[in-house]
Amino acid sequence: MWNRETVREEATTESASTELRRQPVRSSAGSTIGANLTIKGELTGTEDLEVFGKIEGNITLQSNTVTLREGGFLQGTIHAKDIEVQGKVQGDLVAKDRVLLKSSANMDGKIVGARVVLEDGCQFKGQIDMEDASRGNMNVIPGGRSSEAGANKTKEG
Amino acid sequence: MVFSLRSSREQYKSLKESKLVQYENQQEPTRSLPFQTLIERLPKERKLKIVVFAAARESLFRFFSEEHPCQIWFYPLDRFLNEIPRCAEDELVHEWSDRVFSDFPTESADAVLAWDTLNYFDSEFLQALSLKIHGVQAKPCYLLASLSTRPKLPEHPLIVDVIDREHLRYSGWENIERKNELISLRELSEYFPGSKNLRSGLLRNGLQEVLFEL
Repeated sequence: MWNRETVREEATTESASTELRRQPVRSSAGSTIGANLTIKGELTGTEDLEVFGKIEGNITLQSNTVTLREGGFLQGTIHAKDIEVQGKVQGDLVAKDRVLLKSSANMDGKIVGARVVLEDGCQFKGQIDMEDASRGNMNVIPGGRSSEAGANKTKEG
Repeated sequence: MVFSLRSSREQYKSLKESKLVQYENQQEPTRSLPFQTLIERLPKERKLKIVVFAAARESLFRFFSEEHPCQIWFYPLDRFLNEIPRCAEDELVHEWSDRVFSDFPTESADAVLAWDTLNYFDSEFLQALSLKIHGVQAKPCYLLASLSTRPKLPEHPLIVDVIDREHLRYSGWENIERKNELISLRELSEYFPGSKNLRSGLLRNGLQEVLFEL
C-alpha cells in the first residue's frame, strides 16, 4: 500500500458493479492507488505514486514522481518533481522538473514546469507556463487552483 | 452573450462523422511567410505570452518553448467539435466562447494564433473577441489568422504543426462543405481598426494566411 504520511478524509471503494478496468500494477518503488479506489483529501509524502483510481484533492510529493494512469482521474492540484498524465485532470500540475501529457491525457487546467511535453493526441485546454517551479512561487489556494490561475478566473468573471 | 455559428448543424454532423485523414500534401510542410514574419518580429528578451485558438500540438509548443521561455494559452475548438453529439451547436459555441472570454489572459499577449477558427463565428463574437484582445494586447501584438477562400474545404485545417521558423503542416478533415458565407480578409481587418496587414499568403490548401500587427 501507499505511504500515508498525511492522508485525510476517506478512501472508499467504488461500487462492485464498476468494471475492473485493469489490475493495479505496483510500481517498483512507490505506491499505487488502484482503479477501484477514490481518495478525497490531501495526499503528501516522499515516494513515487501511481494512480489508477480517482483523487479529489491535492497531491504534494515535491521530490517524487506522480503518474496518473489511463482511466485515472484527478480533480485538484499536483505538486511533484515529475508528473506524467495518461488519464484525466481537472486542475493544475506544478512540476519542479517535467510534466508529460501522454496522447491519452485529457486535461483542463494550468501546467507549470521547467520542462513540458505534450504528446500529439492529448486533449489539453488551458495554460502552460514554462517556469522553474522549484522556485516555489506558485501558491496553492483551497479548491485546487493556483493563485495565479484563480486570479485569471475571477478577474474576468 | 449569444453567438451563432456560421455553419449549420448538418455541417457539423458531417464534420463529426468524417474522419481525420492524411490528405495529399499533409506530409509536405507548406511555407508560411506570415508565420515566418511573426517569428522574426516577436520579442526575444522576455517570456512570450501567446494565445492559440487551436489544438495543443507538441510541435507548436516545443517550437516556442525552445526559442525561449513562454506562456501559452490553448483554446482548442476541435475538442468541442468532437463532442457535438452531446450538445447543440449553440451550446458548443457558448462553451467555447465562454471559456475564451472567462479565461482569457489578463497579462499582455504578444501574439494570437487563430488558425481557421474565426470562420466559425459571427460578427458579434468577432467584435467581442477584438475588444478582448485589444484589452490585453502587448505593444506590439500580432494576430496570425488563416481564412478559407473556398466554399468547399476538403482539407479542413483543424490541426497545425510547426515544422520550423518558415514551415507549417496542416492536417485536415475530409468532405467539409460550408454553404454559409465565410469571413473575408477585409471583413476580418475591420474588426481590428488600426491594425496593419504585415504579410499574407495563399496556401495550397486554399487557406489565406494573414499576419496583422494590432
